[in-house]
Amino acid sequence: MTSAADRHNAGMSAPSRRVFLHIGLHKTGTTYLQGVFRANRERLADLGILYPGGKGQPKHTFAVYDLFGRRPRGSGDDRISGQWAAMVEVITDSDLPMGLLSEEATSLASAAQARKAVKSFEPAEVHVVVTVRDLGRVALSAWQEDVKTDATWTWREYADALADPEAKAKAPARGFWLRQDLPAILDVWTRVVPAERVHIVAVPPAGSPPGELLRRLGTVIGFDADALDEPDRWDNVSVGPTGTELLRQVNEQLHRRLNQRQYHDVVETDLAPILAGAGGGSLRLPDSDREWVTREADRITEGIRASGCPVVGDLTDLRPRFDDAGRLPDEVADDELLAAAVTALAGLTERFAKAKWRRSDRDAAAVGDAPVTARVGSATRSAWFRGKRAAVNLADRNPVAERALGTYLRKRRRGGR
Amino acid sequence: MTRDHRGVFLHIGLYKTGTTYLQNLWRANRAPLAKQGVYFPGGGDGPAQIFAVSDLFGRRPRGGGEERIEGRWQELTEAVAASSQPATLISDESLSLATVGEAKRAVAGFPDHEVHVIVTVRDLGRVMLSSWQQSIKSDETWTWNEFVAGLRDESRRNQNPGRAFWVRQDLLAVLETWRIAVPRDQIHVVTVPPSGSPKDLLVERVGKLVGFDHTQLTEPPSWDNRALSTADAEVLRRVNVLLEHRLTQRQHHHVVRRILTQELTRHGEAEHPVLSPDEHAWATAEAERITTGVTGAGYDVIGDLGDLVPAPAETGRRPDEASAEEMLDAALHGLATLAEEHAALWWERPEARPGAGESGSGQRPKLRSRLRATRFAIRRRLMSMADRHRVVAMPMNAYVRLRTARRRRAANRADN
Repeated sequence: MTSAADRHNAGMSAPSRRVFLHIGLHKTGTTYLQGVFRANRERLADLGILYPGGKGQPKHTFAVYDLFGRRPRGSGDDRISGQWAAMVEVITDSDLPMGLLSEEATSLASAAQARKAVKSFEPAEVHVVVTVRDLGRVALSAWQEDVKTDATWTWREYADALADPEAKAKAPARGFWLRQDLPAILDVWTRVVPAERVHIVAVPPAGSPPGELLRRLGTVIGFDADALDEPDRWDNVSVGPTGTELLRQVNEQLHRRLNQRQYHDVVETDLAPILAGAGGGSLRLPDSDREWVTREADRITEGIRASGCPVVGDLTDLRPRFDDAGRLPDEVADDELLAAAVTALAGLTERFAKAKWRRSDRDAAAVGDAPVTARVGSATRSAWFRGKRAAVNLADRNPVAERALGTYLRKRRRGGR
Repeated sequence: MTRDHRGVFLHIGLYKTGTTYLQNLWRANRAPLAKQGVYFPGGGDGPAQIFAVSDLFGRRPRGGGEERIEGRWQELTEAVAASSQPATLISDESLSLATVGEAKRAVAGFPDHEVHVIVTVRDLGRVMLSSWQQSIKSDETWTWNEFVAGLRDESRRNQNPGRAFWVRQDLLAVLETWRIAVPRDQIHVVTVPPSGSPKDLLVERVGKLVGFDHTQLTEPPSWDNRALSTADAEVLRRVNVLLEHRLTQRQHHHVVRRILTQELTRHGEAEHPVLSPDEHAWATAEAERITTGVTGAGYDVIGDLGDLVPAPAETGRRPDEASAEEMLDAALHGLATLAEEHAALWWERPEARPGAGESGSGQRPKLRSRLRATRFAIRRRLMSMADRHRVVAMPMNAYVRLRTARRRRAANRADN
């Protein structure tokens, strides 16, 4: 048996390099996995796996955006041009025998884009890795994600749209099925790489041992999950049921007055962390969604079987669960919502005030043209005023000072200061 | 006493008696006032009255801006001395807080003028309600009940909220202070007409005193201090509780008063909350004590001192009576407002902007990359249009089907 490095050195005749494209799906723990890869770049390199990124390196997301011609909304962002070519170059020029690209947006590729992606790495052997999760959980978290990115639909509206075959070309169903219609996605990728190189990794259900997803992925790519460190902080900030409903209502108020980037700055950077503290636990699926979720989940499982792609983990892991602990998406009381709203308002007030204050330092433009005599009198009065203010504040906390202030207040009306 | 024919009228408050309205009206009508022989200092290069009075007291804004205050009182008195107008009008409610020494110093600033003091006064019940809201706008956290209890408790008059209220609203003490600085017959008490009276009745009363015809002041005031709804007030109070005074006075003023309060009052409807029978009885007794004192001391009164006595309780809500639903509505509105303001701030910040082109690749990939960007943008525009227009939705469905078919065909080609 030859090692990967030996095969690499054997020359151009055989496809010695392997490239793993982890293409998602969305909401299957990709942020967590990418966090692990980022934190373990050196360990992965020791195992012969290049995970590009870091200073001066192309970024996975930008590379795939560039492949698609996509740009973030509302910005003249020019960091994306040329990133795909740069990513391919970094991987194909590397001394390491394996490259790993992880970006869930890759799952959105059209047939032509998928072919272009695979061809870019020729003559390397391209493997596609697809992480897949219970459709019910995916739907709930996709709804939450939508709300975190300016959507206003309720869970009921969202779920009804997903359940309706007639609504598939319209938002929000279009966006969801574009990302989650696994048979269609497999259809794209199994035509551009052989089915045995498209690896389905089932996301283990809640309650499985920690690290199980990483272990499953490791058996495909060829790393020992136990050798990797968990990053300190990895999750998307989870805003919980109350926070989600609150954001949804904020979005209704905002009427899309912010562009995508502004919205992201305020909501993801400022509001979401404030709301993460609002708690409320996790969401569970209402029984009324059992019919369509089960139907669609069965269709997906059937599609996997029919595709002939290898599966890591168990297909039963993908069966939707209706017995999870947690709250129904529309089960948020007005008083909880009010408490969250006031917390968010106070938090944003503070963040805004402190940001604004830093900017306003220079507002206090110097005047400095007052005559010296006026300034001296003015300065004396100022010192006296400050002293009084300090004394008054002290009186609110200290009984001795309070009695003294009482005497002063009685006297001040009768003359002097 | 040699009498110059020139007069300075110091409108010294009281607080919450419509001073903001009057000052903004006069600010907007400097020219019509001047035409009638009344100098209202400030505007353009003129000395700002508020800074001058701050300087008189030695008051500085918390957290910066000292330079704007220093020397302003002297500047104001010099401007008044240099003015050729027969009358000067100065209005700042914080003058009502003057000690005897400060009142004397204020009057001494105008040696060539006869100084008159104008005190506007209003229904004590309304003043209480309005003072409570004002304190909430200024970062206080007490509930209405706590606030009223503080005003009523004689043993707690040296503590807030009682101290801050009575320092501003103890009319007899204010009059007594100024009587030491100017002759009694140069002090004028003007009552604010009860709600329901014509809005310009108050300015008409002041105009007669100072010597201007109020109907000539045709320019509307730039803004008015509108009352918060009960829900708005309670939400802001709860925000203050959570903030725990972590903001400086200026930060709080800017965000809570200038942005949130302005937006909430524009959005909501003005409300006239009512006192409980017990509170009403107490306020009536206090108002009567004050009016008796004013009458007894023989001050010049314009209007009816009876206007100070709270109007009988009408039907209405208590000042702290708001439903969770209304408060949620107010909080959401505030959140959206701040989110927008905050976003604008982020956007102005250079460091928040994406870095300028850092890609080292050549021209060709960039060009192709731009082409892809254009295609993507057009597609996205079409899709979002399809969500809104049925006419576009039909071809969009067709496009989605076509795309699927094309994908299949391309895939099949790849297989062969």
